[in-house]
Amino acid sequence: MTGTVHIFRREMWQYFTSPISYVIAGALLLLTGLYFNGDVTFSLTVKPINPSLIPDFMATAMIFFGPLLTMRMLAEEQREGTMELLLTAPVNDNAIVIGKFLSAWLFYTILLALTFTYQIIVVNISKPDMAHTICAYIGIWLYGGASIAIGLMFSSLTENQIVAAFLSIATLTFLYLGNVAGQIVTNLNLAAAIRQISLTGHYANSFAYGIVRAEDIAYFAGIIAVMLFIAVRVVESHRWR
Amino acid sequence: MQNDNIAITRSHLGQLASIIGGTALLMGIIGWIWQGSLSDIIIAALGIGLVGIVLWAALTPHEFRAFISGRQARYGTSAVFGTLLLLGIVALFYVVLQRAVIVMDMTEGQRFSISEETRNILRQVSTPIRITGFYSPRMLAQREIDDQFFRLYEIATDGKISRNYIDPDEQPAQAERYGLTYDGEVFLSFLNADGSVDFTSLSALPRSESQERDITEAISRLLISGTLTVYFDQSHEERDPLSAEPQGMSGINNGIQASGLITFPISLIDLAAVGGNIPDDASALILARPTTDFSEAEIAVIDRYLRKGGGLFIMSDVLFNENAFLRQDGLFSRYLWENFGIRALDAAVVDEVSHGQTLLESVSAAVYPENDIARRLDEENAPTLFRITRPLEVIQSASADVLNGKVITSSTQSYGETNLQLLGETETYRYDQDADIPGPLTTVAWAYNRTTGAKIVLTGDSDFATNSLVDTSGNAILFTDSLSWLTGFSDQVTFSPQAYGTGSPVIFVDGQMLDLIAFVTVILMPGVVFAIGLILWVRRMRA
Repeated sequence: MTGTVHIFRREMWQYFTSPISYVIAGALLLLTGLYFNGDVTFSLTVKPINPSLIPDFMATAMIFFGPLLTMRMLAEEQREGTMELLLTAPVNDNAIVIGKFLSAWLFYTILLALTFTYQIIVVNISKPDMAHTICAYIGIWLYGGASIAIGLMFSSLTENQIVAAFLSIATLTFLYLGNVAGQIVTNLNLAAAIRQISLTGHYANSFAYGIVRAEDIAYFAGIIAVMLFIAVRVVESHRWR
Repeated sequence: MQNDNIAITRSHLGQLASIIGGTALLMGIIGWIWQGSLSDIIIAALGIGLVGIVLWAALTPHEFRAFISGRQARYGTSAVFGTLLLLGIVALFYVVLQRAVIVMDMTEGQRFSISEETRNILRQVSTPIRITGFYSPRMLAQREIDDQFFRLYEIATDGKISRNYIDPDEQPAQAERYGLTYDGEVFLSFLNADGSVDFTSLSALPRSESQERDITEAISRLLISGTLTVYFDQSHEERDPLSAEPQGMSGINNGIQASGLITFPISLIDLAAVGGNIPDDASALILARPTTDFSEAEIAVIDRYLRKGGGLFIMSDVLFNENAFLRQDGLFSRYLWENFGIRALDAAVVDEVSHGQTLLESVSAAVYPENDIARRLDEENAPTLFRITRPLEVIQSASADVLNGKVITSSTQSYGETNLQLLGETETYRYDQDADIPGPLTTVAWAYNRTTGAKIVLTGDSDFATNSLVDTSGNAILFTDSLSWLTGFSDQVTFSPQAYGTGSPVIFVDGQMLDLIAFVTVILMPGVVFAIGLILWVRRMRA
């Protein structure tokens, strides 16, 4: 546990002292801000504002922002040779992976919390269904956690950050588009199976509609657990390869 | 120019064979599990896989031996099995939770939960009901949205309501048998004793904003199907309920039947001639614009029916013939006026504000939602359109037992043209302050006798229910909800107002506020974050 906290603090410090993190955060806020303004203008006197507007956007944005947050995490340690130092330090492999994951997830949570400013604005100009909005935020928070876990797993597989980011983006794109597999795949069972494993299939038809389903929580928690387990095994393999 | 020689060693070939063999073997096994049988492609994949592995073992025996028995194999196998075990546990946990259907509806209006009104109706379900949905792979997302609602019905009825999904692309014959009209259409039906679909009870599920209302009403219709009978009088040259012509009423007749109600023709003249009665099973009698007025004997038939709590739907019209139906000084008009406090006036509504293509086409200007008939009508979103309508009169003090009221009125800028002869001959009209009736004028009215249970809906026009106009905006709603009230169908399916809710209100902000929002969200927030990043970067550069 101490090892996890130590790694977590080290990573958080890196996030908050790295200009790149602020560029990523600023870019995300700029995009969500533009998207929010577009919808407000479009909705004006016509329709209620979409309660899951920002979480829906974040689901798409995570294809790129997830890997941006995670691509360096383990790949950089391998490339710069600091992985050996970490492995010989008094922290176990679980602590390394979980500490890094939690720091990325917390950073993402802070970014998500910043977008809640839009909801404060909406409350002042309309009467939104806040419970629905909070439900969508819970969903996208879990979605983000799963995306980060996938990114971290790929970061553990290679010492090249670009390769890690590319593999993460490809996987997240597949898991994002899985929700619309039926548009491409003609076999209903295959399309349904792809949907079952897709990230959006467990967000777009439940959390985004204001519904919390135990199975969706289990799915996201399962993805996080499996991805972190694989990442731990990969880190562990450095000891016996 | 540099000329690099590329050397291909045994080791390289062995590695290549291991990758190709391993991948092909994995794909073959996945395909085998997926299809459940060995197709040619799967056999080919497995064959390539085996050849690859054999080549690998032959070309690089040391590597192969190390892979299956060395340290890498031990740790690697342990990691793979560990991952597979965790995957299995996660999948099992997921499936258990999926089957347990643990759902929390966080929406303000509980839009994805079933209300107590629905549960009351579901308690009446004793015969198995099947929800059959047709969804192609393209409609998979819609299927999931619908399914999470349908399964609530399945749970609430302990499985008496079940779900079945069919891919219309794979089973076009089934789609044709159900009369599928669009991808994503859902049908409701009873099940026979052998578990097959009872096609005689099949009805399509309508799609509107309130999914709960749609499903529950459809279930209610199914439950009462065959128990409500509607009669159309055909003895006074009324509009033909079987005619598919623009002036016919086959549309509403089919609609009534699709709702599970039975329709029959009836002759009031024949019944009056033999002193007969309207059958006891009549839930409503429809008078779809008789052209001639009723005799005393016919009124007596209607009176006996109403005294037993019958429902009467009267569609009058502006008629130019002699002895026109429901003329103001006629017997039937007097009967309605004296007993129910409603009557049609000998005039035609001319509306200068709320009208269709001509001033004689009356569009509902105001709706009085005091009765179930007007529950879904809305002068803005679902206005009714009448071609030429008679104004109606409603008197409150007809009898202590009688309740009555307006449903729809014309605008304040309307009047009742009383010179029908001029209108009929020249199609012209002009406001005459002394003779014409000033607006607003009632065009639809209702009456209810609390003692006998008799119900009447009177409309000044019949065109609204014809094939040419019934699909126009609120016309179909007016007809179906009127009939629903008359037959008592609406008493069985009553929803609280939230079922009609449209969610949160729209937003209203001025331009200044919009600018402020844009400044805060697009410039200020990202700007501050970028600025912090810039400061950190400058500091690093200086350090």
